[in-house]
Amino acid sequence: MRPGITAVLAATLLSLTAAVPAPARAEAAAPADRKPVTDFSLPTLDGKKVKLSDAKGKVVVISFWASWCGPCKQELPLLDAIGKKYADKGLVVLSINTDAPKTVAEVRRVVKSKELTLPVLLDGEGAVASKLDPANAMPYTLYLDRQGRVAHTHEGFQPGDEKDIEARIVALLAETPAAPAQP
Amino acid sequence: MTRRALALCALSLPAAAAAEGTAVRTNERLILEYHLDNGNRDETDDHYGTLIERLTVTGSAENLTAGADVNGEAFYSAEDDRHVNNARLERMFAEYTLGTVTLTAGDFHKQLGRGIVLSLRKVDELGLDTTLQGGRMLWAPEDHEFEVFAGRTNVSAYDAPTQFYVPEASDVMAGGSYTFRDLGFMNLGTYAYTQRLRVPLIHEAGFDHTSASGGFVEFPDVLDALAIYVEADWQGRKSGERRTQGKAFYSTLDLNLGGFSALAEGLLIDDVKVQGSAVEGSPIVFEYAQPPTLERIDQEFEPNTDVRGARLRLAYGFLDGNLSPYVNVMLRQNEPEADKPLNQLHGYGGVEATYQEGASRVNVSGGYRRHTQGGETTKSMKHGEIDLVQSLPGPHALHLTANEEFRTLNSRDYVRGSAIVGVERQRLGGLSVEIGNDTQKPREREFFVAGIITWEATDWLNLRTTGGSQRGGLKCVGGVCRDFPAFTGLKFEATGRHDLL
Repeated sequence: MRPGITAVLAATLLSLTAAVPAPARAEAAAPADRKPVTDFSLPTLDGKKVKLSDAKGKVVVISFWASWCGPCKQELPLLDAIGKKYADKGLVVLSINTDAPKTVAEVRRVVKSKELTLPVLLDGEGAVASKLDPANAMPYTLYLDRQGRVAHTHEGFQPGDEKDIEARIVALLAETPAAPAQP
Repeated sequence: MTRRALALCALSLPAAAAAEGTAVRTNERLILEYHLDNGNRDETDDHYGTLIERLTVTGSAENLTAGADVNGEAFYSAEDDRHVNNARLERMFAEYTLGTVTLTAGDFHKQLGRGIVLSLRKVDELGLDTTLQGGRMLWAPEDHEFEVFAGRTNVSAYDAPTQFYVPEASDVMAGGSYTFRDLGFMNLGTYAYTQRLRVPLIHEAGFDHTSASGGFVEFPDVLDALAIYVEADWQGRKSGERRTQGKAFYSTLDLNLGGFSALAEGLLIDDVKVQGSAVEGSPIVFEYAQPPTLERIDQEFEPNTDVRGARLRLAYGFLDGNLSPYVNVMLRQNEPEADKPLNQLHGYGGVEATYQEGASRVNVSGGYRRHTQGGETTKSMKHGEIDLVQSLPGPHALHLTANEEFRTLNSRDYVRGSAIVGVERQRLGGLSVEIGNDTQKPREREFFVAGIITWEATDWLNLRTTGGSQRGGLKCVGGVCRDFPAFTGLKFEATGRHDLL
């Protein structure tokens, strides 16, 4: 066998065997198994800047999307509605748009036409997507618990997923009570 | 310098893993293919097997993030010697944030403005990925962002359409940018960079180089109804013994009033070209910019280096935005100073709808596109598309995606299209049939049929198997087009995400 093939096979086997058992479908990873995500800061569509750490102590849902992605445009209004419904319970929904220069002009139109009120973060260079969504799956959603650790990830959107989305969020919100507001 | 940066990155991964509150994640994609005769009358791309491995490891601890991409390809029984067995460390980076300062060493993507003079980013669908390998420093106090960067271009060593090995371009770049964001009222940005090509066009003429600068002003939200973006760029270029200057102007105006929305785009690019070194033996021309094209994302377009044009898109949202008819008109002119400039017109319209409380959606569109030059029509196309997801009882859904293009090229008619129809079951996967047709080349295969099975095995593992034949052709994504050969054979793909630590 040629060295190139050996190296590729070795890398494949190494990475496959490195897999650890995954949490059961639609159930959160046990808190002890959850890992934090690194903080990031991105500009928003309306000209502000948002840092992930601004939502410290809250359950955070991060959804990667693009204006040309049909399932994303189906999922976003549902996430927006869920975000509003549980905002006072400590939920923050952040949508991260990854449109390239060619299509970024479409982003605002999608947001306005869907009457979305959630923060739309712009990741034109893919700086955050390359760390949190390296496969560039679309839509790709991460669910973070109040400690900023990943409890769930989900790729794609299919009819029926909206029930799972809400169930995951409700379970994460119920895990620990919201920290008392600082004076 | 590069090796030192890579060594720093390599050292930082275990350091990240050893620290408190660390996370190390992997993302793996494994593709196994066997290619049968794809009917293109070229035997060199038939009867061979491929193994493609893509492994991404990302680790983070406190203020440090580090990552690496390990990629590899192996070929079985491939005739063309440009299919090269190879395994390599494709990307590596370490990023450290201290207050308002972020330092990056290794590979990073870079874009200036709307990508007219520089855009190094991923285009996954086309297998393109160019980074700058070097270092950068970002200082972002409050409303200001200062950034400087330098490095050499690092092109992905594997070309997805041809499956050929791609030699490195390794062109050197350095630049900086400043952005001012003023609490949502206005954003201002300015930037500049210079690039030197590793391989000169004419060795006796010395190194080829490009310098560019530009700036933008953006009003992201005027009275909650209007957004305006204006960008201007300048470029100076030396190629061989020729020196040229180019300029570009790009603007968008986005109006949203109630349910009505209007998006206007204007583009003027006057001899702006950002290419990398020509590498011997490679069919690829390295493009370091992705300017807006005014076309749809998946639409082919004429060269975007000397062009002017505009487009207008009007839409109205009914039923809380759940029903939205739209029309779009685009006019472009390539090489306007030439004796016979190429004029392009593209008009299309359609309707987007979501229903059943968001569980179902449909997008139906159709249009007409025409190219004329010297008063004669050189190319035309009538097209129609549908993308339908219909929720069915229980956790099932019907998914139909189809497009058909009736084209004329230099007075010859041909038809090209594809349709994918399938049933999906939530949390499980889907079963689809893909049918394609392409009559452009009568001596080649014109009809294609493939079956696709997708299986969401777990939350962290997705599997996909494709068997049969799939249409090739020009594929355009995000301002880049590549010609893909047809595929006939069997393909297996596994994508997994794992938390290692």
